[in-house]
Formats: sequence, structure tokens, C-alpha cells
Amino acid sequence: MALKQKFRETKLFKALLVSLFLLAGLIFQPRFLFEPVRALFATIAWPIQGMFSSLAFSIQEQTNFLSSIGSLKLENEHLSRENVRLLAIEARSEVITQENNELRLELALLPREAFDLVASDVIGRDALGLGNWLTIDQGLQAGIRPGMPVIVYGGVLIGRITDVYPKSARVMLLTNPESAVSAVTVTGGAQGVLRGEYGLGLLLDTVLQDASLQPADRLVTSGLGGEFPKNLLIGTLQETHLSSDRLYRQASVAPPISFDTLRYVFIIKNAP
Amino acid sequence: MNVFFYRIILILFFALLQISFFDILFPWFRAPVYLVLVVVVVTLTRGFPQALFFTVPLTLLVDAVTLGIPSWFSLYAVFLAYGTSFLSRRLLLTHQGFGLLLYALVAFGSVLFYQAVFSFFVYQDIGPSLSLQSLWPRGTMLLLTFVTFLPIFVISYFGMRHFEEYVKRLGQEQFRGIR
Repeated sequence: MALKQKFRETKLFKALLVSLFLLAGLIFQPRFLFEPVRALFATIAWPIQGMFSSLAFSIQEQTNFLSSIGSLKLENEHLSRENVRLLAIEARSEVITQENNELRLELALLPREAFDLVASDVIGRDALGLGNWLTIDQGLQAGIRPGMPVIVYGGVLIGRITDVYPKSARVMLLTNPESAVSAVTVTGGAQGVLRGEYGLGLLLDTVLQDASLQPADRLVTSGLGGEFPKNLLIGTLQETHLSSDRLYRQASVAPPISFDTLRYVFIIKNAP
Repeated sequence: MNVFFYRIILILFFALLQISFFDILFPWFRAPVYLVLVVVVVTLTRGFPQALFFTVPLTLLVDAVTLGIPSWFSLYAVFLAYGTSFLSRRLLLTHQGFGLLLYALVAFGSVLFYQAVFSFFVYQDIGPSLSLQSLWPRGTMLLLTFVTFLPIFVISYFGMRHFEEYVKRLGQEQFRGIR
């Protein structure tokens, strides 16, 4: 009895008691308790988040500059070659675009819609390091709604809006394990579902075994399901392999940008 | 009442610092670097189990804002606080100079341990499609984080200590009815 009483007074007992309480929370996942806290925090904290994030990005730019000095020359050479290659592609694209517009006119097809974009700053990230979401400084008052696609650099898909608050919103990134986007390869036409891997990478899944999956092929949204517009760039295929059950093929996908360093994003308001 | 209010403000401040500042500054880490630092600092200044009254609400707030449910990090933070208290009683180091440096190393080591455990479980789940590079930061990034971590630890420790002394004085004055 005295021993039991003595153990109850120890710090270990108190630590275990609190851990049991937290474990119960982990098992039962009381979202109804946490959602109001999250909404309240998002509503009142967004101006301070904006200040902190601006300061952090400024410091990050300085440190990136210092740490990249050694690799600037190599990167410069690589970018020069890439620039020349892209100029050639752009010239060919202009011809194709012109031809496409003429054909659309002849066939009386509706013109392609331009996106109605809302620009936004990133003011917060996933603090638990899962790399799954961002907080942005546009919300209900800017006409943002759940489900809207989020892009960068004119056409690179990074995720979609999930939760919206008066002055801020959360973006679920493609690297979130709950994210599922219908995608297709540009050259091979292989269709699949793009899934996130805990903030660490992207995986193209459920591709038929006879589909053509070539490393270095580009992956874009297919538009199936109507959640995302067609032809938004997702990334480039890396290595391909069979799924663990051997029924489908899979490919890891490298996005063209790093999700860790995003600062400005654009929300598509008029996506189909 | 004032003391409670000040503690709430400090918890909100630390949560904002992690979500909107340090997570942007150290994006290559899968562990909440600043939260780990705060848990160790608060345990050193307040002792265990009093530290839990601060760290548990802080980690649960961050969980609410990020995931919307309690996370494994909240559980980890409890054992981190206990471990810090255990070490500080066994080592009997003063909270200055070499002693403080050692506690900073313990805090940074806790960040790396959390990162390692996270990487292990993610690798088990996802498997060979991930490279080791994506799971673990590069050497230069680790060094840069460590060099930045040390002064932040020291500043946070002395800041927290002064805050505790201030609220203690405030509590005593309120009790005596001076204010």
C-alpha cells in the first residue's frame, strides 16, 4: 500500500497518466473539440502569421544566397542550356498554338478559358513536418472556396483548398497522403492516380500494366472527375516499378518545384 | 488571472513561431524543431511535472491547428519533458555555460531522434520508392540548423527564466493584494 502510494507520487506516474490521456485522444480522435480551436486560431492569428512568415522568408533568402554561392556557376551553366532548349520548344509551341486556334475557329469550338486567379502569400506550414499543407492569406472574403485548385508559376499544380476561414485558407498539397489526383502522361497517355507520400514525394499509382510509362515523361492532370482543370503540370516520371500486389504499375514523380520553399501561390477560382 | 492570461499569450506566441517562422526557416526537418526546444527549456525552468501544464496545451494547440487531432508528437513531448527532468536531476549541471550547451545538445538530439523515428515508420509504409535523401536532411543543412539552434536555445532559456521570475513576482503581489 505504501509502495503503491509512493509510486503514485512519482514523476513517472504523472508522465504515464498524461500519456494515457493523450493516447486516448490519439485513438478516439475528437475532431469536434479541435476544429473550433483551429477555426478560432486561423481567424485571429493570420496577421501575425503574415508578419512572421515574411520575416522567415527574408532570412531564408539571405541564407539560401550564402549557401548557394559555391554552386551558382554550375547552376548558371545548366540554366543557360535549359533556356536555349526552352526557347526552341516555345518557338514550336507558338506555331502549334496558332494552328490550334485556326482549327478551333474553323470547327466553331469555344475558345479556351483563361484562369481567374487569386494571388496569395504562404503564411504558415505544417508544423509537424509532414509537409502536407500550407496556410495562405486569402480566404472567404476573397471568394476562396473549398476544392479550388492551387497552382504556381502559371500552370504547375501544387494542391487544392480544403478549409477556408474569413481571411485565410488551408491548401492540401499533392504530397499529402489523402490527396488523390487523376493524372495522365503527356507522351505515353498512361492514366493513373497521383498520391502523396507523407510530404516526401509523389507516386503515380493504379497504372495499367500495358500502359507506356517512360522515365522523364511529363505528368499532367487529366481533368477526369472535374476536380482539376486539364493539362496542369504535376511533374516528371522517375523510376517505374510494379505495385506490391503486382496488379498495377507505379512510378515516382518529381515535381518541378520544391514544396518546402513555396512563398507565393495562385488559386484558380473558375476551375470546372 | 493575469498570470494565466500571460501564459496563454506565451503559448500562442510559441505556436505561431513554430508554424509561421521556424517551419519556413527549417523546411527540411520533419520534426517541429522549435517546439522540441521549448519543451526542454520549459522543463528546465519550471521543472516536471509543472512543465506539463505548459507543454501539453502548447502541443495540443499545434495539433489542433495542423492536423485537427492529437498527434504522436504530443505524446513524445511528455516523455521528452520527463527525460529532460530525469537527466537534469542525474547530471546536476548548472543552467549556464557548459551545462546549458549540454541541454541544447539534448534538445537537438531529440529533434534528430524524432526525425529518425518518423523516417523509419514512413519508410516502412512507403517502401523503396523513397530515397534516403528525401527522409533525412543533408549534412550542410544539419550543420546550419545546429549552428542556428544553439543561440535560439540560449535566448529562449533566459527569456523563459525571466518570464517565470516575472509571473512569480506578479503572483505573489496579487496574493498580497498590492495590485
